[in-house]
Amino acid sequence: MTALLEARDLSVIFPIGRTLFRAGQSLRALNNVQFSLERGEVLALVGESGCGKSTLAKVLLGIQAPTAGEVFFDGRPLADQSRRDLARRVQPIFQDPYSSLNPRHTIADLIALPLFVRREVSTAQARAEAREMMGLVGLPRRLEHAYPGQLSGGQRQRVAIARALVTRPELVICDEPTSALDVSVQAQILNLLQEMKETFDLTYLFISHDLSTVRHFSDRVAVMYLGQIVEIGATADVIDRPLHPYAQKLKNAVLPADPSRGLPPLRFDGGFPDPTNPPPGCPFHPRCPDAFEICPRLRPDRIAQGASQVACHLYDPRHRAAAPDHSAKET
Amino acid sequence: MASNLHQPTDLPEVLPLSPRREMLLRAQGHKGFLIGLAIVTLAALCAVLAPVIAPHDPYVQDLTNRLLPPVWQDGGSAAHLLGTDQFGRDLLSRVIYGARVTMLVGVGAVVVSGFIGSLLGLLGGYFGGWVDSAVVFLTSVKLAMPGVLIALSLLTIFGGSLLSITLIVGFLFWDRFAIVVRTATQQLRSSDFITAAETAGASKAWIIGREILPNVLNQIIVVASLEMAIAILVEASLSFLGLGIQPPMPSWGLLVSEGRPYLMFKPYLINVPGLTIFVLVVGINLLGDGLRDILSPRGRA
Ligand SMILES: Nc1ncnc2c1ncn2[C@@H]1O[C@H](COP(=O)(O)OP(=O)(O)OP(=O)(O)O)[C@@H](O)[C@H]1O
Ligand SMILES: [Mg+2]
Repeated sequence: MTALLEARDLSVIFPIGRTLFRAGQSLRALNNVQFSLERGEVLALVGESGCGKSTLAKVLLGIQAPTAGEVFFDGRPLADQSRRDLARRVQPIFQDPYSSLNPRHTIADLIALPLFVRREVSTAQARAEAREMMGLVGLPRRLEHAYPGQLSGGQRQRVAIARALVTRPELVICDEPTSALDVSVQAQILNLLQEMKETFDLTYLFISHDLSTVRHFSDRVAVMYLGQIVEIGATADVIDRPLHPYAQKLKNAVLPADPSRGLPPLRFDGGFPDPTNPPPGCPFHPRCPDAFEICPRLRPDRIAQGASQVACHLYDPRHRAAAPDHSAKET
Repeated sequence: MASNLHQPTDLPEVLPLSPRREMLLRAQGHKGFLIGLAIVTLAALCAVLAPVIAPHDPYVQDLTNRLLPPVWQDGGSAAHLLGTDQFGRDLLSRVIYGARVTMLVGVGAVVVSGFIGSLLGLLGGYFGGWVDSAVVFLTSVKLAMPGVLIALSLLTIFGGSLLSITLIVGFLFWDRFAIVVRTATQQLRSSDFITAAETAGASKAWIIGREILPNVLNQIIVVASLEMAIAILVEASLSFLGLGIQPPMPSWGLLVSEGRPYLMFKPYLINVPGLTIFVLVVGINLLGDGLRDILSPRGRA
């Protein structure tokens, strides 16, 4: 059985500050990202701000071309599939429902947009389908002619969800769909996403900052750091028994947070490294408490460890022996 | 379809005002806007209804009634409320017909310049890259050109007529549209709703026309009102210099120019059309400032 989505060795490099007269720098937003997503699965993608989560989402949506690597959707390369085809089968839900809804369109027209641009059904038919979606996502009919400016954040996100689902996509890429919302509304939106997943047999790539959300929502978790997936595995494994030192830090950074204060910033010792000038070797080594002599010199390979995969020299049998207290890291 | 099990609780009972209602409310409380609107509406009505409301034919000469003073001066008559000019033509009628020329040139020039400038701004702002560089280059070249001087020389080549003036002024004053629309488009381009439209499969034309344009329309309208005032002044100046509208067609600038020999003895020949130009330009500016206040987006709810 082929995976619904497969990312093979994806890299994205942004040229920045380049002008006609100046060479500028390059920013590696994604670095050999590799994973696959089975039908009906929820894969969570976690990592600090700026680690490349949204860039990955854009590549998977087909609106950002990867510098290297390939995405396969339903067994076929993304690049070979028509924009139109892909638009029906893969849809996004964005973080900020204030920015994701055009303030000049009515709610019904916003939801019907994917149908409008396809021109397969009449405008009236598209609006009727939009109204049906409004019912499914819990928006009252009277909002049909309202504008986004008249709605609350939670209602807007329901509109965005309705728009994403109106073409009955197979894969929905949610880029932090609840983190811009009030805490009281977040649970409602998560419940709605869960309900929609069952109604429409959806597959989710669920980007999040919030490990507690991820624990309830996802089947697997991928942890990203500076454009690389450093650990990927079943949710319980990655969140409760993380292997990678970075994932361990994430876990500890999240646990003591007061839930009423929303998302805890994943900030700890030192800052996030400059992505235009990434550290050599393992990108995490400057902040890693367990770094040893090989770490600054060699980029770690992905090592299978139990059901998880982890990119860390501590788990690499070729280098493990050199680690200072390798016995503690063996599982 | 699945039943809707969850009961959303984030739904307020009463909706906030729709954007249209809110603008209407703001407009009703804006004095400058209302005054400007009244002045511009009056000028527009004069232009449209000139044949109905003008008491005389603006072209008919009546040499027995030359240079009659307005009604409030000695020797004035109710037949010619604002008096007559050196050919005995009724000044009020000429001013009313002059509104036609003024409004036609003002609106026509702004339609031309608004179309050119907005299109350039949208393309440069949306596509960026070399398209944007080209737009920026064109705009800089335009800004470096002395607009009125070029209009003068073009008019000496093509001759002054309603059409040539409208087109020349239109082609020379699009830069502000381009700058404003380009900046606004650049800000919108990174909005998620543009990405949403792209991932829905919308074409570039759709995104520019249906997603971006409605959001920059407010700014276009505000610039248009201010540019219209400029176009009207330029037309008046060109006509005053004799290169614009040609006699006997009545244009307010031309009326001022025709009254010039009588500056000392019959000042109303200059004062009346001069005042109408002034009042209309002030009115348009009030309208434009008002529109800016009324159309400016409300802060996030
Ligand atoms: N179009 C672009 N041009 C240049 N650099 C970009 C571009 N888009 C993103 N970047 C850079 O790529 C890196 C990854 O950005 P991305 O938006 O994917 O991060 P993220 O993980 O989604 O962060 P956040 O959690 O804040 O949303 C950042 O350093 C960002 O500045
Ligand atoms: Mg992001």
